Amino acid sequence: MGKILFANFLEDKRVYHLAYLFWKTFFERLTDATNLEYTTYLNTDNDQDGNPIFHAYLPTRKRALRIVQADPSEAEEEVDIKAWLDEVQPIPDIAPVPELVIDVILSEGTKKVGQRLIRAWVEAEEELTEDNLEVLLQA
Amino acid sequence: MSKPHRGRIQAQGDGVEKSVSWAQDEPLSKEEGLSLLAKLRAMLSKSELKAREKQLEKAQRYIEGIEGGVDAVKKKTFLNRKTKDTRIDVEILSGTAFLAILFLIAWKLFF
Repeated sequence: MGKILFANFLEDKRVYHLAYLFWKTFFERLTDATNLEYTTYLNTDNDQDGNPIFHAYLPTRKRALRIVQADPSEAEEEVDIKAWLDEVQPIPDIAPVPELVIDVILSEGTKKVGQRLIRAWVEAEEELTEDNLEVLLQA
Repeated sequence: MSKPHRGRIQAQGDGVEKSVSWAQDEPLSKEEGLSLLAKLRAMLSKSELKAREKQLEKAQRYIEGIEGGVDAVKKKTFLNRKTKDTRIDVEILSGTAFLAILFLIAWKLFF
């Protein structure tokens, strides 16, 4: 599994913010490099539960990303990261768009997998499929 | 015209897609939310329920723990980590949900 990152993020608000910044900074590095704008689309007011810890809608790509960072005490595998496709209506009066959901126990091992998934989700011109996700999770 | 307060609770993953939903003029009360969750539980087969027992409990604790309701758009996922994607999703898609009865009475008085 490697070292758990931001291990006490659910107990310490400062660590929680650092974990949030970890995802946000990585995501913005990708959107800056590709000149993509994004907005948030969920109400996470007063939430400090990692569910989700980060979310973003890319209007140009017409796709959304939601990252759930789970309690490290709930880890079931050495590299505990799951991903699937859902749908969301990020803005009223537009059709639902694909939403990549990543549910992860953040560690040195899962960090790389998560970043690989996010990079593919942001950069790919074509929509990813469940099969694509499986390949990215196993790579 | 769609109702202002909408949402759903879903049992998802491993080929399962069962859900209960609401669409109404007033915010959903916490009691109604818990009742819908119980309805979803009753819709699951033994094996579907076994794979989501803890996740249903977590969803229940989440709804019970809400103070003053929550506003859309809100998505909460409760994943069975032993599986790829077996989970319970709680989604407030529009308006407000899970208001305690006292808050709901106040809401009716003021709106």
